[in-house]
Amino acid sequence: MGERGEEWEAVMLRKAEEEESKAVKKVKLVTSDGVTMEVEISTVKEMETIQAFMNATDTDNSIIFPLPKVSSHILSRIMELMSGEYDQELVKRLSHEELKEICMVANYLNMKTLLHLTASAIANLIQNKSVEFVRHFFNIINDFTPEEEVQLRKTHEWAFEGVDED
Amino acid sequence: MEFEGLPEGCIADILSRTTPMDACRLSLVSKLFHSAADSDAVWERFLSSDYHSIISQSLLPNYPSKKALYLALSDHPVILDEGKMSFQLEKKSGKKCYMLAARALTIIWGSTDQYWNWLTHPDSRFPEVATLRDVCWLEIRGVLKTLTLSPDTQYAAYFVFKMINARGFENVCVELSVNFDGDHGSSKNVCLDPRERSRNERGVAGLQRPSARSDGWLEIEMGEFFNIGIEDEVQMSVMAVKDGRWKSGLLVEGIEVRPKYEN
Repeated sequence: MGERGEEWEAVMLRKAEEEESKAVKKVKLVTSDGVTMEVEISTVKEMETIQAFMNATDTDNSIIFPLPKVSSHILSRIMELMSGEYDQELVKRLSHEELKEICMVANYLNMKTLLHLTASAIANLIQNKSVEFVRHFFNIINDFTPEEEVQLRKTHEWAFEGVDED
Repeated sequence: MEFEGLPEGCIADILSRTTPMDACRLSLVSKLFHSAADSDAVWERFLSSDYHSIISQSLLPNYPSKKALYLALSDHPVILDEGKMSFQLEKKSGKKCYMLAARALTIIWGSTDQYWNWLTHPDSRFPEVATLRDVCWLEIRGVLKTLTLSPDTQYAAYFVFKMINARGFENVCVELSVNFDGDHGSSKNVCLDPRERSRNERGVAGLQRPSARSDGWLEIEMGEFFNIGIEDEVQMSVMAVKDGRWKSGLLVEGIEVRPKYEN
């Protein structure tokens, strides 16, 4: 084999290595409690916020993306949901706290399927429930004055008929 | 991690998957909920997807928000098809309701002055109502395409009318029917005379009677059906042809089709 042949072989080898490095390229997500989780590039495709960041920053090195608002517990729950192809049964097993946090993260990372799933699950939980129930559910403090609340209730009187008991 | 609370966009997303009634009630949760619950993103979802094409033929004012438009469409019927039909949203659910005006119904002898007259009436939403002068063959039929209605919804049809110096309806059975999808359907005997008479209840004792509506008319349920959302027709009829009595004084506003909920 001549010099040209060796050169050609080297080019092909480099190409194969490049292909391989592209295929196994991973993204490191750093959670609020300091845990680094390596995830596949395919996983990140669904996280549109991160995907947009990656598209904007053209880098060969592995990408580290900090998630200061996401705990490692919630991120691993999200990974479970994604690998389970968003099975409704998995969603039912989440606690209310987990459900709310995952919904918030799905909104932040712009994960459409996950947002749809968790927002629908929460909507089912608060449908036909009282105002007090929903405040408690979301840990929300009423910031209306008593007068404002009376006025609002008057405007929407019809929406208070036949509400479930708490 | 302490749960910080959902951002407004997220709350709006959740509320848009509830019902109009939930979104209105839950606007009292907090100021953030109020802002999310009033957003156009939420109410655009509650307005049926084809509302643009339905109301395009009527001159509606410009509403400041989708919520204002929704509430207007649920509080006041919009008149369509040159006064032959009205469209409305059921307020709590946003499901579509229609009323076929008397002019959109097939009324046997309806175009013969001697039997039926067409008059304006101050209580009517439509330009004309059918007024019965005299017939002994009472037959009224209406047809509605089910695709115009909201899918996956239990509906009922209601005959909407008035009795003014009426004659020939006491102690008379009237047959009301609702048919769809070929031979699925129901029919029942009712008494259209709103007054229960202590004497001579023969033949109509225990039969369903009309009830008063808030718009000044009477209504009686004709039957119900579940709309799965495929192309089909609902056929509705009011018949009194067997008793042979001459009847007069019936004013027909129309037939209304609206969602029916189990209580």
